Amino acid sequence: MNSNIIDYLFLYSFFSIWLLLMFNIVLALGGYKYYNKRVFNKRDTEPKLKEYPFVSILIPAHNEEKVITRTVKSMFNLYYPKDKYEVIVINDNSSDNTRAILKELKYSNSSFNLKVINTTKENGGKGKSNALNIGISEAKGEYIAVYDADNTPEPFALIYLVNEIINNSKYGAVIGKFRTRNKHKNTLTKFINIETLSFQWMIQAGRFELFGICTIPGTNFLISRKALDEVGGWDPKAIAEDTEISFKLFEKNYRIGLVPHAITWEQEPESLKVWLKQRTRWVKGNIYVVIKYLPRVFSKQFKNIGIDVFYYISIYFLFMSSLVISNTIFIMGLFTDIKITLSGNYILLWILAYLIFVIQIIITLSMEKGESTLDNFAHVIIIYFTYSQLWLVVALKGLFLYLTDIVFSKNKTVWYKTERFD
Amino acid sequence: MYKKFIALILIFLTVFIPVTGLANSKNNNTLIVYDTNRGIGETVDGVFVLEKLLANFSSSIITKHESDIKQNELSHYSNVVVISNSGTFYNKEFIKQLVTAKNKIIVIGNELEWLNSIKLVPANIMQKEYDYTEIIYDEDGVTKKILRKSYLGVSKIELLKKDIKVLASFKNGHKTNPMIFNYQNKWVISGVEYFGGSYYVISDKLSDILERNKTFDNTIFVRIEDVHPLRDQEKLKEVADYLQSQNVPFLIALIPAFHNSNGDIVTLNEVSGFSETIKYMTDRGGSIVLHGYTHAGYGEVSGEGYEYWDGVNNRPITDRDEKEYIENSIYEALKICIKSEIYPLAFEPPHYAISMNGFKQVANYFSVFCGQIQPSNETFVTVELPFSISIRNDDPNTGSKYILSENLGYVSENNGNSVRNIINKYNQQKDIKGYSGGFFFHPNMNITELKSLISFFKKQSVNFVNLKTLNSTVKIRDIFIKSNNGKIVASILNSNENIEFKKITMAIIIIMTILLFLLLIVFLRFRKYKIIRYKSGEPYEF
Repeated sequence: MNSNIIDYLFLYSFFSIWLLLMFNIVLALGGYKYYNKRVFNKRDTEPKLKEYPFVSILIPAHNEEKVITRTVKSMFNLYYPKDKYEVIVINDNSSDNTRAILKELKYSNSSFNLKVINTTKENGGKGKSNALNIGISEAKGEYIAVYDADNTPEPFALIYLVNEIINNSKYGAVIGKFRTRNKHKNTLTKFINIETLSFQWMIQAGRFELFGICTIPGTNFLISRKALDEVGGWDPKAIAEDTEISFKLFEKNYRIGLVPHAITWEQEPESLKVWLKQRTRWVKGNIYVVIKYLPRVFSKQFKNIGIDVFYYISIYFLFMSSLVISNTIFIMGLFTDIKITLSGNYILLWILAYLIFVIQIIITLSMEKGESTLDNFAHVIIIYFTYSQLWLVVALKGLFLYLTDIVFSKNKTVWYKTERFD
Repeated sequence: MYKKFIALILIFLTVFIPVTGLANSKNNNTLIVYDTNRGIGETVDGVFVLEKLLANFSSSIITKHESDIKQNELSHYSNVVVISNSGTFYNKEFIKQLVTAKNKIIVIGNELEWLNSIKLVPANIMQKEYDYTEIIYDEDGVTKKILRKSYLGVSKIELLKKDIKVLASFKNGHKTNPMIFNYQNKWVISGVEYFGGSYYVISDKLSDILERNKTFDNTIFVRIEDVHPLRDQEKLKEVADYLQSQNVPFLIALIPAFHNSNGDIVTLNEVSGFSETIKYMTDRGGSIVLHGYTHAGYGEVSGEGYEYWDGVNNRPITDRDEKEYIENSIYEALKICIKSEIYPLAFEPPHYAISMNGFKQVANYFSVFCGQIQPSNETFVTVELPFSISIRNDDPNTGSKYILSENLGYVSENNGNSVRNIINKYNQQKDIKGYSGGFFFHPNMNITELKSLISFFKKQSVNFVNLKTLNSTVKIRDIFIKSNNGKIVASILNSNENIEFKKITMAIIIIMTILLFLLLIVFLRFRKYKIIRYKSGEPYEF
């Protein structure tokens, strides 16, 4: 009976979507609770350091001539004893002026601990993981911080991170918050700004509050050298090396702490083409990690990972397949006689979901200074119909590319770089 | 350059199509104006019967009492049929419009003397005469004769002008008397009866006066009657096999529940193999006509009792609310059918017995009615329509309605007598222009009787009615069945699993609404604390 199959497919997608929506709402509420706690306990954020550990800041750079100066300068501006940290820029086979600029920076800032590693054709050009691993070999810090080459961290960012990890021995790493520097540039950056805020306050903070876990976002984080050595450095095969190393830390029973007052500002893609490339890469990378760790989800050490893996699987596979199925059923219902026989007040459900979606984001925006603007609100209202739909495209493309990569065994460890803008 | 040409064509088409569309839709609507529903001393509601007959000649029918006619009303219709049952028309506005009307006027009835004073037609309507034994009429230049076995008095009519056309006359040996005649845009039909020779002639001549819907022309339906759960399933299959082998689609008058004399009800789901047998039959060209719920209700065993009429006291259902009773009965019957994936497409009341009110109610549920009509709320009497009726409807939401008319009888004996009777009846009616009809067959009768009839009708080159191709709909409460060009689509919004699902979606809606309010509260709190934070001068760096 044809209608039965359609009904079951619909039920599957219906319940998947609603399960995930509920789960996300629960996470969001966790995130708000976390924020609430921190707001009223601001004094807890004051650094209480008896002594300053030595920190090595790693900055992998590949063709970063447009931004590297500003980045390095902001490193020098950090509120931390100058003799207690070093900045290691790994110039990974840049073909532009990065090398010359770095040489000039080192020359004119000799009072700062700036080390520049220029990779060679043999050991370089193999991606961010590889660059970081090269940086490690020259790092002498007790703690390793990583920043992307376009990041400008706020002066207190580093000390907040150090303060958190020193006072919590179970942390193998701590992460800060990242903000969109070019958020006013165009509609896309406005959407990205809303997205990054929502993600960090609802998903990261939510997971942290409810399950005590969060994952490394690739920049503005501090990892203990001891832990890093234990997990064997970064996986050179992983595109999403940040997610991957998070899981490795969990495997070794380390936790990752959230330090939202350690803030860095980064440049987000300003054109759709760049955005698509970046996000597709993330999706591919995440799928790789999820598949790698899926078999180990049920072992005892992994109960924390289980939630994260479940989360990723549910987003990429469950949610995506459900969206595709329910969209297909909807379109089929318009053009053919094949319909579901299950009736329900779908319009009301959809409106409720949409309202909840919008208000969740608006709450997040109100948590950040200067973000509850009318302009932002207007973007929130249309974000579902525009930006969010692009994610479906990205997810499908990422999945497709991941599969074709396996089939055709493409070399995955080429450096995937996000283009910079002036 | 060709762009201009295309633009011109498009403009032309956009103007042309609606105009022709309009031309088609403004045609052929009929207004029936009557004085009383029944003739003096009669039981049959003539308006009820004529509405059905005329529906086969019209795109839409409005019926009004003569007192309701307002200014300028008659001119909006292509045809105005005046039913003169008692000859009492007092509305001067109506008379005025009637006399000056330019559209088709048909006056039909047995009390016509009022026409004299208004001089509607150049004729004198005089006293009643009782001794006419035949009707003669012209058909394609040939004079035909039909016997009239009736004592109904007909008015003697004296025609005053030579150019009055006479379509049919009463005859008694040498004496003739106009029965149907036409002057300019007016027709008069006298001697109206709803059976017998007069009835046939009138039905035939209607096609000369009005434009007929030809949907059912020359069709016959075959109906297997009283198919209830305790019938012999092998015999049912045998009938289906035979009809399929002859390429004859057929109707199955299904009784979903058997009500035996103890009062116990056995439904078709409870008899092993029965619903499979029904599907066996529908797979071989059968369509289902719902023949009541138990075909009983007023004391008798299934298959014999009246269900929608108090057959014991010969009156409508009065011991309970008739409307509610009919609706519940049909709904429960359909639910039983649908549970076994059996989808009725038409309705036939047991014995054709149902009040006129009940008939109108059932017409809301089923777009196809099968059988004969009962034109009385007071007594059980049925009228056979001389052809099946196709009631076109220009409303896309309503769609067409049909009455499949049984006017040939049924097989009641296993000795060939019934076959002869049915064939005789057919021969009497087959010359009525647009004739169509049907007969039925109880499955416990000898199949040889059925075979004789099928072989006869095949020789007449008739078409057998296939309900599935008729685009019928069944709509009652949350049940919806539609037959669309041979495909049956059914949806029941109330099946068990749907209730579960509805409950779940309701639960989700409630949870979501609660969460929405929760979030609103969180939002308002945040805004409040934001103001506090600003006021307290704390740096809002977070």
